[in-house]
Amino acid sequence: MAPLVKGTLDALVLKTLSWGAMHGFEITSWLEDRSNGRLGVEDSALYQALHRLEERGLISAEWGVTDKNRRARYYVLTSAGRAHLRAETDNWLTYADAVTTVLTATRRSESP
Amino acid sequence: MTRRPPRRGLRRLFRVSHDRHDALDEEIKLHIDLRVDQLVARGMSLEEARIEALTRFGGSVDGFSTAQRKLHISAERREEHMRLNEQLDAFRKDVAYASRAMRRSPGFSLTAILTLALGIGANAAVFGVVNTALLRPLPYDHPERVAMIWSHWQNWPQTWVSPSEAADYARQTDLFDGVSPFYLGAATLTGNGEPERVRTGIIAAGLLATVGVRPIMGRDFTRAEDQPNGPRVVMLDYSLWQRRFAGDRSIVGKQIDVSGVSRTVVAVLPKDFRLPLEFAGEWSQLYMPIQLGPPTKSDRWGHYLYAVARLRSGTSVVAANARFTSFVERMKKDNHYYDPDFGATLVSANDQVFGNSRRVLTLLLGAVAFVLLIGCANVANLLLSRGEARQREIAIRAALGAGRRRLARQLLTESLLLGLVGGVVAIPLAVLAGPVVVRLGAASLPRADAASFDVSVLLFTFVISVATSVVFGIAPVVHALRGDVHRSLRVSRGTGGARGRGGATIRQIIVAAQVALAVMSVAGATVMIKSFNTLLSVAPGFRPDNVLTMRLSLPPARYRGTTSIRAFYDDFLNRIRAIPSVRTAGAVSALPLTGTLADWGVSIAGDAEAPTPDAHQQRAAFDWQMATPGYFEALGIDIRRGRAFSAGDTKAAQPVVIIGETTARKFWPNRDALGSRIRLGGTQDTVWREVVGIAADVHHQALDKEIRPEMYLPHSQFPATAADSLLLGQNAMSLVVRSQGDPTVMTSDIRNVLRSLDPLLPIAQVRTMETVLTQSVATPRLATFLLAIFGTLALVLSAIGVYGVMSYSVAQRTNEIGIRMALGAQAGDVSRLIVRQGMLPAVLGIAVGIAAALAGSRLMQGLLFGVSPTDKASLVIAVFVLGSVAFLATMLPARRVSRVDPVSSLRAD
Repeated sequence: MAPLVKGTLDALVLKTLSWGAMHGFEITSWLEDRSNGRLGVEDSALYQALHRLEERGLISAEWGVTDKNRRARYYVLTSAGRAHLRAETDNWLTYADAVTTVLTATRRSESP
Repeated sequence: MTRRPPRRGLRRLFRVSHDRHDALDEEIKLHIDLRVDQLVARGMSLEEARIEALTRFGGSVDGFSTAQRKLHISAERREEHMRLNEQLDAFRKDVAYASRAMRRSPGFSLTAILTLALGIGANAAVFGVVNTALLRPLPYDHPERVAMIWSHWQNWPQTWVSPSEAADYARQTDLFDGVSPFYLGAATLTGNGEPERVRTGIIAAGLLATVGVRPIMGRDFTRAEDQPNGPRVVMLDYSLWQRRFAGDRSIVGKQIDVSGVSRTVVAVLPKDFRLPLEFAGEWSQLYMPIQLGPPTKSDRWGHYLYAVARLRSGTSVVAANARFTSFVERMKKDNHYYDPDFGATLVSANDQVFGNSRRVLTLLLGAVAFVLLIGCANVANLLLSRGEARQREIAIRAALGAGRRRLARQLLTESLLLGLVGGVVAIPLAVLAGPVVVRLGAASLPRADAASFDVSVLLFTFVISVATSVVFGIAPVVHALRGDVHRSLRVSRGTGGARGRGGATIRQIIVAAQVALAVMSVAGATVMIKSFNTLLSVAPGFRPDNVLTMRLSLPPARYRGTTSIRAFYDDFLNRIRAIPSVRTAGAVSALPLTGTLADWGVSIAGDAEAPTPDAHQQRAAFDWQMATPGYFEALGIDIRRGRAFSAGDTKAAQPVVIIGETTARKFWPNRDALGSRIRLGGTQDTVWREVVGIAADVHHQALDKEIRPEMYLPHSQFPATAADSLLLGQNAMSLVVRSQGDPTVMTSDIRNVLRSLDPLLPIAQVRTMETVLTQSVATPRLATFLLAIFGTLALVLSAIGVYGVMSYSVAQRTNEIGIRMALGAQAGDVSRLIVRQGMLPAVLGIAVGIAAALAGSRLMQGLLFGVSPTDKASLVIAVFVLGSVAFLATMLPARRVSRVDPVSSLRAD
């Protein structure tokens, strides 16, 4: 399991919730499944992230019931959260592209 | 989010955080359980799965509880943050909603805002003056320890101290940290521009330390400078330094010309420095050392000094006064120099400066607050009426889930917005009105010159805007919340007389309250106007029309001795009398209504035929002044019997004196004063003077002060037995000129005459006698003027209030009226019914207003002259005015009833 790059957990949680309301464990499992277990998220860190996101109004929470009939706190993306996710995704892609370009460079650039 | 039933106090606090932890723990437990299920499904044993689940949660099995605690903390932070956000958000929404509501009914908003702005602006303007006058501390160090010392005798409630007393008091070091005598004078500044007459403070060295003031440049007088024939030094007032010396930073050490004598400037005083007696009107521009020297025996009797003292720290004025009085009593017992009825008291600097105006300003503050309250009542009624029109809207909001608190906050936000906008509009009003109040009161209000529209006035405006909003905003809230929202939804618009019942009651209470306030305002204003008229109707004892006066002072350095001074005034007056428009002219040492006269002990000859120096019949002291021939004629003081002074009253002729009517009656009760003789105490005028005339009484001190014993000594004869070089003020005289027509046109002619005699002499205080008279009643004039304005505003606003409520109620009852008329009621009957019902709150308000006016009349005690604060006639006038205004305001809407067409009014819905 690879440790998570700092600051990416929030974006991952937002992305996860963009598929619909989920409770904490569902989010974890979803993240684990999608990354084929390559992303290591400590469970308590996830809940910290949820608190943080809720505080900033990017997600909101409501009590609901699971299919096994247990009370669970379901989180949903707010419109502010959706906008935030878009911006973060763009940032990440630009950043990742830049880093990839540099890391995979095959020869020294020459002045034109 | 789910709503929990509210719980109270601490328990609620704990419960909530408990709930929150429970919820979080539940969430975590679910997570662990699901994880265990997942792991077991993948083939782990239950025990292994549990350990793995806890490890994944907190990093290790032991880390689990730490992680859980951390989550508790972050959950709490989240809750707090969200609650705050929610409130901010609600407030923003309230403000947005309120401003939308304000824009939606511009007529209502404009009326409310203007009414409030008027009230708040008037309050801020008055506060601006009161603030400097009453609330800002005097510009002394620890001003509560500064006090004036006054002597008193039976006939003289408050008068000067003598040099010996001042020296005695200063030695009481267990009582005082310093006692500094001073007196006020005048001097002529020459050089550096036009000659100029200025007030001077003649002060003891150490006076600045006594009041706790440091010069901004230079130093206080030294003890060495404060000795008889000491060095010629001077301190400058800040405004004089700015004006005449252009704020010269190197002025200290330079020489300036004061009354023909060159003096060295040793200091410039701070901008706000004033002697304790000079906070109202004009103040000293120069300060010179008093140079008394050690008191001599004869100094016991010369009571001509003011004295300011600093109490030892920790002593209150009251406590100090008790100890001071017992000290004076002890001195009287041990010391023959004091009269048995002599006494001395301390008056705190604060009382000294503000004593007279505190009452006036408090009264004005009260009156102007009434205007605002009445305005508030109008706005509250407007809001109530609008609230009824908006009842459906409010009901819908309530039905959509807005709680009562939420609705109340919404309504209050709307009021607050109105109040604050009113406050903002009020600021320019206050800025414009403030200087008018200051100018009206400048001559009599202490520290009026320091009044300014500063931060404290802004703060005051803000505070009263908010307070006002709450006052007028509370009634609509109470009303809106009491109503049954569900029922209002069902009831359609405009039907049902019963709908506005609650509102009608509140509105009537408000109308009654504002009428009560208006009765008090109008009654107060009426009493004040009556008092002022009584004051103006007091015969001053002279005829002020067509009289011009000015002050003139010959510098002793150039006019040495009384002979040359008399020669100058003789010549000067003769030349003035030769001006064609002048009818007559004279001069006097002190003009009536410009200050207090000193008294002089006199002996009255027991027998006019054979006077002997020892034949005292009674001890008497008369206020004295010097006058030239022509003075009585020029000022229009009637000579009741005998004659006025004439050119024949020379130094060589029989010494004469003229006394006032009251003086004659009081001191010659059983015989004729005319032809009788008196002799002045002391050594300067030891001749027997014959009473050759009895003049009409003159109100010398003030129109509202009683007549004191007064005598006039001829300028040409007095003092009879002193050396020619001794000046008792003969050099400084007030010129009194009576003209054919407008007296002010003579000014330039008189200046020309003076210039031809002595181009270096300045004249000061060129005023008509009418102006002198007017200025002497500046304080009552200010109070009367403002009370009249506030009374009128109160009347107008409450008339609008009554009219508004009546119009609304008639409009609301159109239906009912239509039914009544359809059932056969005559228009007259219906309008009579409406007037009767409408007058009820007004009559109630008038009754309450009378009771309150009587109860509050104490406030006006001491401000009135010749009128009782509970003056019946004034109350009757107030009742009549308010009654008829309320009747008119009820009548007009009621008359509209007759125009109601029963058919169309019933069809209206």
